[in-house]
Amino acid sequence: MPRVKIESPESYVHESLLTVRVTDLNYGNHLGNDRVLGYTQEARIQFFKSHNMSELDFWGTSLIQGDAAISYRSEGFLNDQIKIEIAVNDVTNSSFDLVYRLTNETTNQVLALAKTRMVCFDYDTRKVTAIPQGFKSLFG
Amino acid sequence: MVHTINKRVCGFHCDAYGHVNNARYLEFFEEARWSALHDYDLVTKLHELQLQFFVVNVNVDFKKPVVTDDIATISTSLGNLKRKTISFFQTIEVSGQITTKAEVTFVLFDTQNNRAVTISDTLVSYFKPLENA
Repeated sequence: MPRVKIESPESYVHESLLTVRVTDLNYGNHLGNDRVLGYTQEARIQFFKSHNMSELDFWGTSLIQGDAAISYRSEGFLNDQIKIEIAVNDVTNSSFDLVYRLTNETTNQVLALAKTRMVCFDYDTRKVTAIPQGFKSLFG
Repeated sequence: MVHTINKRVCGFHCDAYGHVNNARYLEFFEEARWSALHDYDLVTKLHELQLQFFVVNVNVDFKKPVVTDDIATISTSLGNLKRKTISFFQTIEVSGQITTKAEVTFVLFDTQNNRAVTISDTLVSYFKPLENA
């Protein structure tokens, strides 16, 4: 499996803020690596919500996640404020990338860069569907 | 050799979509890595050297959903060895079909000197039993 290199886009279309909770820490007393993917999902849901959409109602279709890549850059600690910016990239007929830049606002350092491939999917027919025009017109 | 654990998927592993939540897979993979490290006594050895695992990169391919009551077989083997990083190749299989693949890259962090150490031949030898020969 080739290691994915994540480039930070020049601009982002959405940002949200999360606080590191005690349950997000692991034995290293820092933010657990597994939690970062959960943070990206939370930010993604907020992004979709800002367009009155969700992962299950995405302009009439739904979304599944095809892949994920995370590059960890620095640590997060209890009560740190994490800003999560989202950019849309590489929109094709049925899928697109979301790129996330997580910045630790408390230490002013980039905490991680992440990328998830989102695939349009019909949960009833279990089939991949086309990108909705509503999304394409905004980000395509 | 490839190290494997079996895990029954429970309701609390799944999300509103009825399948294992994407972030939960990372937890499954981490549990399997810990199990492998314990079985090869690596936790003790690295603890004695005051080295901790810091994950620096994760790549996951989600191929098929995993759902409640599935028995997930999680495999771990040695991946790429570089000057400062080591990776593990990991898969999840359900009923003989690969549902999820990952490469997890980490550094060994010297907690005394606050820096990632160079992967010495001795350290490599600790991980060699996990090589998928």
